[in-house]
Amino acid sequence: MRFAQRVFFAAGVYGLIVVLPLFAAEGLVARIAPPPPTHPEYYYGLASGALGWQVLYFVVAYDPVRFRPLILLSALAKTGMVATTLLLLAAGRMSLLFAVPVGGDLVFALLFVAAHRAVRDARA
Amino acid sequence: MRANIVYSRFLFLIAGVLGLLFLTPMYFREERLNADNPPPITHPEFFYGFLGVALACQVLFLVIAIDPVRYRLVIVPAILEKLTYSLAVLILWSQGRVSGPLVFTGFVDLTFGVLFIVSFIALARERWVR
Repeated sequence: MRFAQRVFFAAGVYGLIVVLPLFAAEGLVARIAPPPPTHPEYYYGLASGALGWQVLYFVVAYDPVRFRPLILLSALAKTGMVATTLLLLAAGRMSLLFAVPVGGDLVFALLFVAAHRAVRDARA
Repeated sequence: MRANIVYSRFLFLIAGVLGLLFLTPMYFREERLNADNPPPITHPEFFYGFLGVALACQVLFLVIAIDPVRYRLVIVPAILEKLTYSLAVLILWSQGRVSGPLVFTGFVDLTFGVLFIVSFIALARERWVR
């Protein structure tokens, strides 16, 4: 229980540190990884959706037993992001620079699975 | 079943199903989107990242629909996701950076965001029993 709370609290804090600056960094992205993004709606859509998920992690941290089904869904969401990144990297369509934060997603996906098991064991 | 619970279940079911129907085909339409909405996408990581995060949100809405009382707190991030996206689209529209059809999706998300707030308030008196 404590483990799950700590994992999700840490995931939320890490996510906010990574995601919040995105809302002010479109110009910086264009400079450090040219060409500039041509469809800002996807850039801000990604930032908005990701922001919602970080807040969700705090909600799960508040009561991991009540929100236990969302732990696996969170792990799936993280895994999906990792898979997308790996596929784009393999296709040579993505800068390695953007892949670095996704390494954190992989770590948290594994921790979420461990948290899911820990909550199950705590209930048993 | 109480009216507020029925309302919340239908709302999140409709939001999730509509979202899945709209977003899933986009995974297979990058080239078509590039042709229909030039210039081509220069950063596919944002396009597919957006689709992945948005699809996960639709599944989240379906989970809320199963038991809105249990998952009432989860409505908060759902509201945040809808309102930040619609606000971003409206700001981009005011700057002339996005076109008409996309603005429509911003208004749809804004509407859902407001309806989610109504659901969150309507469920305030309900208590989830473990």
